[in-house]
Amino acid sequence: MINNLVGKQPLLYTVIKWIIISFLVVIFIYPLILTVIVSFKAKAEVWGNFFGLPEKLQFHNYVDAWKRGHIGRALFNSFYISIVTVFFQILLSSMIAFLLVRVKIPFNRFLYAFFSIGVMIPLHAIVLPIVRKAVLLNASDNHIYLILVYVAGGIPWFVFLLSGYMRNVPESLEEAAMLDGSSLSRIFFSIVLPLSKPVILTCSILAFLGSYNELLLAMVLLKSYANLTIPVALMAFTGFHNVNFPQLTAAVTISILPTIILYLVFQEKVEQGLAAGAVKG
Amino acid sequence: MRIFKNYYPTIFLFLLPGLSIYIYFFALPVFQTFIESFFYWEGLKINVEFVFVGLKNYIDLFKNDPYFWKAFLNTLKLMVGNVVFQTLVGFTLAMLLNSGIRFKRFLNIAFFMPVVLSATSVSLMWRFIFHPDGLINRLLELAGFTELITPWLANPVTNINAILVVIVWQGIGIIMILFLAGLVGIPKEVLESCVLVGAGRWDTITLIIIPMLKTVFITVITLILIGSAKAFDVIWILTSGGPFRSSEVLTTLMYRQGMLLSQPARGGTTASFIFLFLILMSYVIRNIKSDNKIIN
Repeated sequence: MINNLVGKQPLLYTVIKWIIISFLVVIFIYPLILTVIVSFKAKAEVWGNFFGLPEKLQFHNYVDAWKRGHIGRALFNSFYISIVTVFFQILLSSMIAFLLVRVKIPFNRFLYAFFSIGVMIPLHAIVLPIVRKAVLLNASDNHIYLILVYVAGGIPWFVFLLSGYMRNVPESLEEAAMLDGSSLSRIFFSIVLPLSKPVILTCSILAFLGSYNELLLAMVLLKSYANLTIPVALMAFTGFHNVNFPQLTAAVTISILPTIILYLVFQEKVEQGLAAGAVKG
Repeated sequence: MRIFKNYYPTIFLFLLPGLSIYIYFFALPVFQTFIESFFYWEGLKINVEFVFVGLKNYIDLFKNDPYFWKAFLNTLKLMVGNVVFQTLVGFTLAMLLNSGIRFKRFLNIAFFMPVVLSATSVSLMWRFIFHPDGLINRLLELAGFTELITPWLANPVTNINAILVVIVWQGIGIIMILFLAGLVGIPKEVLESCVLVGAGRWDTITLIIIPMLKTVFITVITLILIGSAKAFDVIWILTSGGPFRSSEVLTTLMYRQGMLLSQPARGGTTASFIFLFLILMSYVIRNIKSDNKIIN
C-alpha cells in the first residue's frame, strides 16, 4: 500500500527487496523440503550426498518407519483422539457459552470468570496431579482419560471464544422461538448453533491442531506402543547416537501431511483460528 | 432472555457435563498443585502424609536446587530473544505482505506453514539441521567460516540460541498474521495524508503506523512472553535440557523433577512457580496497558 503511494521504486531497490524475500522464503520452506528429500535417501547418502537429490527414491524408508514406529497405529490414535476431543470440546463449550451469554443463567458472571481464568493457566500446572490421578484411578495409558483431560483443558478457551461470538448474534430469532414455546435445547440446536457455524469451524480447527500436536500430556499418560499418539511415537526415533534420519524424516513427513493439507484447504480459517487462540492466551 | 421454570432441567443438562469435567480435570489439579507447594510430602504413593511448611518448598527451590537459577535464566533468555526477533521480523513480514506485493498468498503460506506443524516434528527437522554434520555446519564450511563450526545442540554455549532459532522460526507466522490484521485496519486516508505532507517511508512507519498499532504490539509482546515461558516440546526434543543441563528451562526442570527424578513435591513447586510467574507477568502487562489508556 505504502509502496504504491510513494510511487515507483528504483529498480535496484526492487532487486534487493526480492533477494531478501527469496532468502526469507528459503529459510521458511527449505527445512520442510530437506525433510522430504532426506526421507527418500538411502542411509549412507544422507551425509555422503548431503545437498543432492536421492539417487534412487527409497520408498522403503516409509515402510520401515511405518512398521518400526507403529506410525499407522499412532496416526489412527491421533485422529480418533483429536476428533473425539474436538467434538466434546465444542459441544460442551458451546452449550456453556449459550447459557452464559444468551440465557444468562444465575451466577453467569461468576461462572464466566471461573471458566475464562483457565485461559491464563499453563498446562504445566496440571501435569503432575493429573499423572497421580491417573495412577489412582488406574487410568494410565488410557485414551478416555487423556481425552477427558484434553476436553477440560480446552473448555476455558472455547467458552471464551464462543461466548465472545454469540454475544453479537441478534436475539430476535431466539425470542420469537421462545414465544412459540420452543424448548431450550431446540433453540440451541436449531437456532444458535447454526448461526454460530463460522466460529465453530474456526474453533474446531484450533481444537484439532491443539490435540493432534499435543506432546506433554500424551507423553506422561500413554505408555504402550499400541496407544501412542503421533508426537509421542515420533520421539521413539530420537536418541542421540546413530539416529536413522531417512526413517525419522519419513515418519515426520507422514505426521505433518494431515496438518499441511488442513492448512492448505482452510487457509484463512486456520490462520484466524490460531490467531484467535493465541490472542486470548 | 427470560428464564422459564421448565428450562431448568435443560440448563443443568447443558451446564453439568462441561462444568464437572472442567472442575475435576482442570480446576482441581491446578488448585492441588498450588496448595501442595506449601506442604511437605514425599513420593508418588497413594496415602501420602502432608505437613504444612509454609514457603519452605519455594526457599528450598531457590536456595538448594542447583539448576533452578540456570533454568530461570534460560527461560528469561528465551523470552527476551523471542520478543526481539519475533516482533521485529513478524512486523516486517506483515508490512511486506500489506504493501500490495506480488505473490502475497504464496508468501503468506510460506511464512505461516511452520505454525500448523507440531513442535515435535519441527524440532526433529531442526535436529537434522543442527546436527554436527548437518546443514548449518555444511553451509559454514562452504562459506569458509570453519572456525564457527560446532555441534550446535551439544555445545553448552550455543544450544540455547539454537533452541531460540527454532521457536522463532515456528512462531513468527502467527505474529505476522496478528500484525497484518492490525495493518489492514489502518485507514488508507491516514497513509495518503502522510504522503501529502511529504513524510518519508521511515517516518510513516515510526510516527504513524507503530503508534497506531500500539495495542497490537502490546498483545503480541504479551503473548510471545507467555508462549516462550511455556515452551517445552522444542527444548525437550532438541536437547532435553542438556548437555549437563546447560539448556534447562523452567518447564523441563519441572518435568525432570516431577517425572524423572521422583521429586514430585519439588516438581509441583516449580510448576506453581511457573504458574505464579505467568500470572504476575500478565497482571503487570495488563496494568501497563491500562496506564497507557489513561495517558492517551
